[in-house]
Amino acid sequence: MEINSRSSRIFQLVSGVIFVLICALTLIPVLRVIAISFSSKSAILAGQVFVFPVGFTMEAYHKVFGNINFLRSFVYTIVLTLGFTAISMMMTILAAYPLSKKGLKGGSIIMTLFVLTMYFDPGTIPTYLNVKSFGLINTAWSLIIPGSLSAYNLIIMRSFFTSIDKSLYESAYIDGCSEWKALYKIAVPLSVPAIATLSLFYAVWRWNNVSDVLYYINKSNLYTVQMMLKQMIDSVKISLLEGKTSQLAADNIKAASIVISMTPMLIAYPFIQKYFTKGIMLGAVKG
Amino acid sequence: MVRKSLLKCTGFLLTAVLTASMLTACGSNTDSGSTTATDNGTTASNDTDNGETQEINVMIWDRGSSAPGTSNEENEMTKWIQEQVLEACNVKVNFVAVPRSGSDDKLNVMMAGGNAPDIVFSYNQSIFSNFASNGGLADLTDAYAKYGTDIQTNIGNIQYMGVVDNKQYAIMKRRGQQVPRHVSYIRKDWLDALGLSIPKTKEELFTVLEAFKEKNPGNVSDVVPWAMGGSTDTEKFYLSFVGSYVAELSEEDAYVYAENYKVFADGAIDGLKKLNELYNKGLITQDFATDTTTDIFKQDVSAGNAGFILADATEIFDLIPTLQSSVDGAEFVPLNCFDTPEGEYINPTEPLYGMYVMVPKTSESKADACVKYLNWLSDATNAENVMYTPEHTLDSAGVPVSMLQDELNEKGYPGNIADYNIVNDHFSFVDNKDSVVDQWANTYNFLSTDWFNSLYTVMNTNQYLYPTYPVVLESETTYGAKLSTMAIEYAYKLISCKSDEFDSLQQSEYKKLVTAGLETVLNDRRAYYEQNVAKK
Repeated sequence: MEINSRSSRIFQLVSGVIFVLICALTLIPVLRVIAISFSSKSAILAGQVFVFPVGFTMEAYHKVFGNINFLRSFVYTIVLTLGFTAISMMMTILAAYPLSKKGLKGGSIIMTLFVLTMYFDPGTIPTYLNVKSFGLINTAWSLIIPGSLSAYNLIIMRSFFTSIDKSLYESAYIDGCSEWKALYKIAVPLSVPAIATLSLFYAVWRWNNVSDVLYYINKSNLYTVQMMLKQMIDSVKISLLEGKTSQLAADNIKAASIVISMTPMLIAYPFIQKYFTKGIMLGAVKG
Repeated sequence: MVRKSLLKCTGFLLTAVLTASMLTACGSNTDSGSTTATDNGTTASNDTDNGETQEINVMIWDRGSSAPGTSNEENEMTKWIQEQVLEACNVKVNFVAVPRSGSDDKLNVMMAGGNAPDIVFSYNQSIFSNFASNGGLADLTDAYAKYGTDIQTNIGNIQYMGVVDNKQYAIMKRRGQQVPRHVSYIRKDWLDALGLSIPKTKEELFTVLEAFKEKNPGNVSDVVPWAMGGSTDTEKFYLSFVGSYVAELSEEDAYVYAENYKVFADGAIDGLKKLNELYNKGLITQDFATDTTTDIFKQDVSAGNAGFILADATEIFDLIPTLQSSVDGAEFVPLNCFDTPEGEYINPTEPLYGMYVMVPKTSESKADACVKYLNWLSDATNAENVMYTPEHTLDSAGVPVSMLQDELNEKGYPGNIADYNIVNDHFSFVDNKDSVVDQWANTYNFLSTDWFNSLYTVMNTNQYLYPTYPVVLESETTYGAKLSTMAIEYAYKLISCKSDEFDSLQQSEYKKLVTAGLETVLNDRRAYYEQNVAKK
């Protein structure tokens, strides 16, 4: 390929510019939130803030970090997310590995049952009743166990295991490896990209999901940070319904809370990113 | 071989994992006694008057405004309530936090799961009506008669709204000060600059709007004579104006066209047509319907571009400080200028009742204790101590001074203490002009007492209550929510279309509304009125 030909260079330049523009477009809303979090209240209300802070102030961050409830919830949510991700990955791997084997009796029936959960949603109330009768209401487990296995992720994981060359397993069996050993000595180390990717899927889901927190938790000290954010952000709409003037959380404090709550995922992402494309692609091609 | 049997074993294990992960279907096992993890239902004691302390769980809204280190379930306020109620009624009150946003959804789920707190509440009439007619609520009739004497004396007049099939299924919360839903404001400094007086009629308003547009008295780059926004969940931007084109309604018609349906009453089209004319003359925010978050509306007001607005009654309090700092001498004043065909003004207000406070069927045995607690709350002194904290002070006019969130949190109270006051907001001072003005002026000290005096006068001119009945018709449940949004879109489309397309668009949009159930709802309301109200 002639990379240096003139038309090719023009093409690269033009597509480069276009992609930079697209990136900029997706970045603007994020930058705007960050700018608002550092701006003064009056500048925000007057609509002067676009992507650069106006009337720079750290006040919002002082306020948010000064609120011990928010910080406690923040730490709790991180621990919850880590725990959830670990448990989910364990469930997923332990389910996907045997299902990736041809010899598993009833494997296809089990797989069909898993897939059925992707098509049929039991609805909020039956799920709630189920969680309730397991005695999980008002415990952190209600935020871990019900969502701890996603059929979608299971399928990706299974395809990944299937794509590992059989001869690798066979050589292990000849050396006297048990299935357990084959799983953690061969399958898991070879599947790091998929595991990293799916962990991210699980972690992001747990971090962002609020509906189960709303339904299963009745104690405010078990609220996740996203739940607290939702309360703050929806406060305007609600005070209208109640027909009263209430003190609303200022825009800059909302923005600061949003920035803080998205930081952990932003930090985690670059470390996992190198596996990311590889993970999804590898499971996709079989044969 | 070993491998094969292991695989088999895993098969069973997998099935177990699968069952756990599905957490679906078979969810009806409600009586398995596994409520150990919940706060509720653990303290049932059936007797009422044998001196034994009863324990009740009361829902409390959580708005994320608790003081550091406390929660909405445990703080200085709850401690005080617990002590007082234990002493006064021999009832121990515990609180169960429910996030304010999503509270109705959660309530539905908890009711279905049979583990709702003993006292729950919602502003939503459909939810109440649904629970009541499906046997989800405890009948409070006897308890109310026996232990609800203070409720009867203080706010008995609104309790009819909680009656279904002659049974008291809810205690109605009384709202506080009666204020119109929407109030209009105009830039006084612009009027002064043009030598015009505050308009008293719609005709005068049109003249003023044109003058604002032509002469740009504020000398702003982008003058917006009448600023509007495009939120699809409120009619605030146009309803009072359009409603003023409708001749006085009989009680029947007032019920049929109550509130958001008024845009379909006879004459309302003229109002929409007039708005369309103003829009096409450039007197109304261009493309306002795209401003669904009303950010542009707020910016226009606070940056000093807007000359006239019609909005939620006191919404402007939030915007005025910014306006004052960005434009010297800028002054918005409240006014009544939408004269009706009878030459009057009409200011529809919120109904006097607010929330439906209910006791779930599962807590029937505690109905007496619940009503005792609600009765205690309906007492004006108790309510005042809950609403403003027990350590509140009174100002010179005898009005309780409300604390801001920071101050509340410092003392260990949550920012939303008002949410603990679930029965009676109707304090004696809210009916007294001086007290109300005084309280406003203390809370919003960037505006003068005179300003609030005129606001009070504007707000209390010809207040109007739509007739309300304790019923949600079936067709309203089916079509209501969608129709409200469609009605707002109907208005926005008609206001902002080209003038020569108005009539044809009106017809086609109205047809869509009819398909969506509009006439069914209106006819059902009329039929309900004729059968249940007119005949009595």
